[in-house]
Amino acid sequence: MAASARVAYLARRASEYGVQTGPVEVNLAQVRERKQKVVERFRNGDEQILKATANLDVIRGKATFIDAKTVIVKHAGSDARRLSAERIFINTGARPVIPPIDGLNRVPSLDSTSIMELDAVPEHLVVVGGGYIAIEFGQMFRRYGSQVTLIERGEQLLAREDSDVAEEVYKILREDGIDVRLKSTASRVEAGAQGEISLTVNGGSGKSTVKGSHLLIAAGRRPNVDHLNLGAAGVEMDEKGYVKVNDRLETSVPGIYAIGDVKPGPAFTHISYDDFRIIQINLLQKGDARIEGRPVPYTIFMDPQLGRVGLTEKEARAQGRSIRVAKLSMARVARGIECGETRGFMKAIVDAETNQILGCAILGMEGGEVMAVLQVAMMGQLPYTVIRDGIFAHPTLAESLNNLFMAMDAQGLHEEK
Amino acid sequence: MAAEQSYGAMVIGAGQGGIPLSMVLARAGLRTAVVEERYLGGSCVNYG
Repeated sequence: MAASARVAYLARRASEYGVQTGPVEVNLAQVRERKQKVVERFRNGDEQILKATANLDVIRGKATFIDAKTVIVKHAGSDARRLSAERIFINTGARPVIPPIDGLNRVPSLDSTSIMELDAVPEHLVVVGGGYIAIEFGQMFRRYGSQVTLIERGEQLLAREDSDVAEEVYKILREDGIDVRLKSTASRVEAGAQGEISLTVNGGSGKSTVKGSHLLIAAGRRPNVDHLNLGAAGVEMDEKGYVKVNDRLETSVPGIYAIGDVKPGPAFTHISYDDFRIIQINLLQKGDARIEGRPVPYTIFMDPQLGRVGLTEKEARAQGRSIRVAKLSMARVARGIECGETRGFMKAIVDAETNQILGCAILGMEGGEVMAVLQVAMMGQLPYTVIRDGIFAHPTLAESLNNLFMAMDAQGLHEEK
Repeated sequence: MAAEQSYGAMVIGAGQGGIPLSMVLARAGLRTAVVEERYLGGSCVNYG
């Protein structure tokens, strides 16, 4: 769906590239149909491959533990089944949080799942949240043609990121015409006669009312553990309900493991997949793989993308490391200028003693791909000088990594703590 | 209720970790069950 939003964005900017187009309108039903085909392609692929695997039963239903080795599976329209296994792996994921907004249960609201099923572009979408889901959908719907207001409690968007990154993201969203309100908490919501939403927001300048046609709740996620009855198995959870695991993804009960978003820590598809690798190595290959120290790359699919891996500047400073910070505006990246994509910047954190790259934030066109280049350097423990002096094809984005680190050296050595 | 079925391994939830895991466990010779309430593929594929 972000791909469709980008096409709309470029179509509107077509004249900047000397291309003439007519008025741009998005047919959300067709966008959805395209998305559905992509989803079904992935889903059917999984279905077929599971069915074709010998020794493997796919059982439909909801599982509830009755003891550490046994579950009851219930499925509407069929008898409950009792299954036992020597080893059990919990992979039930997470779902959107419902924030404490008075009246929320009495008005229609959308989450990251249901918003993808809309048939028409909302006139005015109000988004509660300032994380990646809020940003991705907020910008997407702005590009489909909605008016968008984004309400975030914190002092910045993307709470974990460095403030300069968050500020640039803020600037980009504002430039796209999104009304972003920080330090604002939604406390109450009502629906009018025509279904219009009226949200009471407490901000720095007191109470205000935000009106809109649709409400998207994107205020975080919580683990799917409610029906599992983990207590019967003796599996411990943390205070937020996530299944506690050790470094090898073992729960408090021998023989029971948790993988994916249902355990604490970064909730990304590629991390779930790596959880699988860890179990495979430890159980089937008699290895000793651990989650400690694995890289956690991620890309926020706003446009331009934010590709992130490793330490942020604030994390590195909090650890008391001696660091250098490299930063290069996308307006100085040749490829960005040629493509008319000059928003954002590249930023990398370098260890001042070892010269190794500790992390990066690439906010710019194809930021996720550029981040991966630096991630490979980190995996190979290369000093930044190898990237600074390496030959990359002209005029790729990767080539500008030369400039990123040359710019850092030109600033002189900043020994900072 | 039907009689208990016993497995070597059971994966509850067919997400992006659970699907490949259930396959390698089955291929390694363990009788394996994967229990899924709704769609195969997990959050990223199905729920956004």
